[in-house]
Amino acid sequence: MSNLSNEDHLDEFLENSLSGYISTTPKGEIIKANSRIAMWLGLEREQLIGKRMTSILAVGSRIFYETHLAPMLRLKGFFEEVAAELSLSDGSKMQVLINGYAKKDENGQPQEMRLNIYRATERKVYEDNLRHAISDAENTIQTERELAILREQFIAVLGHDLRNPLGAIKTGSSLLGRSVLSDRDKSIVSTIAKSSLRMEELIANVMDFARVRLGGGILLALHEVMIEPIITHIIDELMISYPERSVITYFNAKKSVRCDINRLSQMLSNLLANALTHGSVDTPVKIITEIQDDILKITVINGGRAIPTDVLETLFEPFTREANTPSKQGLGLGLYIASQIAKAHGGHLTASSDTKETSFTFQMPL
Amino acid sequence: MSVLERNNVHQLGNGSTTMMFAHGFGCDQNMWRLIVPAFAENYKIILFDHVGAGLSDLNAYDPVKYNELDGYAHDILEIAEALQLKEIIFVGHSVSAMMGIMAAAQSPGLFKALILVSPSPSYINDGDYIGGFSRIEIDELLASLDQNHLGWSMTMAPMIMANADRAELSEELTNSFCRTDPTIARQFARATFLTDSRSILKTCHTPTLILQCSEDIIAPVEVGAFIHQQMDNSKLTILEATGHCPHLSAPAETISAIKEFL
Repeated sequence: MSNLSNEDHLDEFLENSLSGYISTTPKGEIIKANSRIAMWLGLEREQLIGKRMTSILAVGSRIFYETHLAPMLRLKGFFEEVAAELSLSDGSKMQVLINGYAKKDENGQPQEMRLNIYRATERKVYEDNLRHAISDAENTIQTERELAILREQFIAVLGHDLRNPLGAIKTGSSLLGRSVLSDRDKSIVSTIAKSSLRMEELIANVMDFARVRLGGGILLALHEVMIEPIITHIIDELMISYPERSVITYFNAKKSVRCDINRLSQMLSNLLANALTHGSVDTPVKIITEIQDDILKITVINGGRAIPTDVLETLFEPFTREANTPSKQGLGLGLYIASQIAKAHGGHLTASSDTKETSFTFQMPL
Repeated sequence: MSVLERNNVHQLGNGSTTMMFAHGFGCDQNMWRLIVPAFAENYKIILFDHVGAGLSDLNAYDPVKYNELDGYAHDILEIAEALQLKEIIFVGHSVSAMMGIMAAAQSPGLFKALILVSPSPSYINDGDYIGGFSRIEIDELLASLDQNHLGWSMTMAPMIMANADRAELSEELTNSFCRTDPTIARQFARATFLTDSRSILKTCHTPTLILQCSEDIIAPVEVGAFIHQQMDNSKLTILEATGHCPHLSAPAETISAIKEFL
């Protein structure tokens, strides 16, 4: 510490500070300024005295100062962290942040307006970059959204338009099936009929997907029903296609359930078909149905190899299927739609898998 | 949402004649704080915030309506209708002075007098007309408002402040003081600084007082003289006050000029 008095010390500090200091009269005439602000502006310190505060600001900041900051100083007594632009004598501009407060006399009248000015050029660049990043991101999102809607509309239209020609094929094959046919022709007609059914399923899935994604969601027609006959019926249906397989059921569901029978059947049929298709042939598929604490829980379990963890994570997302076995699994929409049906019922679908068994569990509150 | 809530309308004062105060760009009805007490004893006072400013209902902001000053002028007429005001003495600062002229041109019977504080019908120089700014400067202002987003949004942050030196200010008012939504402020700036209302001056015949500051970078002295010359029933008073807000920087002089006129 030198032998300077406190006041001299403070003056020296302000004078050599890295920030600019300006004092003005209440009307905005500059009465004091340090060398830093004068240097930034490209003026001598003395040249600043008597100028109006607004004269050192770029036009935008000048208007902002007159219409907003000066009133703030008058009425609130201060403002903080306001971004502004200085207009330098070489014609260029400098980004700054300003804090200001009104020093009042003993009667509470403003005596002096004191302004601290900080260089903010780096910050300005940073803010500009942020702004650009935001606007880029907004544009990307907008484009993506438009694309997604277009894609989904395309799917909906496609699904819808495929139904009519398929209807004609089905009717045709059914009519042909009634005629007297050679064995070879019978076999061809039966393949056409099966393929048409398979295709009808795929189209229904595509339509369901589009319905969910385009905002409509899956609509339910709710009825109070017992769950056991529904499951038994689904098993009977699938056993026609998998006569060599066996399914073991366990029921502990004495209460009725309020659900959409067709949708719930669609979901359970999908789960069971998956279990029969992917499970090991020599392990029976198990279906456990329980109602406990007003929660319906249906678990479909099959043996066989485990589903890899990364696949398990995205199992319920649309268009996911094992890359190596394309045609067998269709579009990869089955589980997505199943989970949407569960969701529409206020429930959810989960999956777990290890080397021993793979299970899918549907739960819904009653 | 009623008109009165939408515009955060406050009524005070006693008297049969109504004075309606409209704030300008960049602030809100708090701007009139130093003026109103001088008139509250003898006049019924109406204060309000333009939609987008102060404590107005931001949800009522309609970018199409408020793209033109006429949208704001319409609000003034709606407030008058909602309160069944007659013979209004309208006091408008800066851009609101023009809104007052627009309102009076539409419903001349509604207004007894107009008091225009630092008015300007057009801010851009045009041939012989001195508006105070070149078109390039106004574009620069608008661009800087677009970029200055952070500077403006800071003023939106709720501020808790010790207010010992002005105990009469209620905390609620103080915290919202001159609150401005940055997006709305940008559009308001566009409507304010790009509108040329010179042609409507001649259509207004309501008795008018023009208060012109002697040194105002936003509305220079030439502008006050121009308005006076265009409005047949007007009186021009040049104040000693400097700056754009004489009602804040020189309240006493402003009050006495208004009282003398009334």
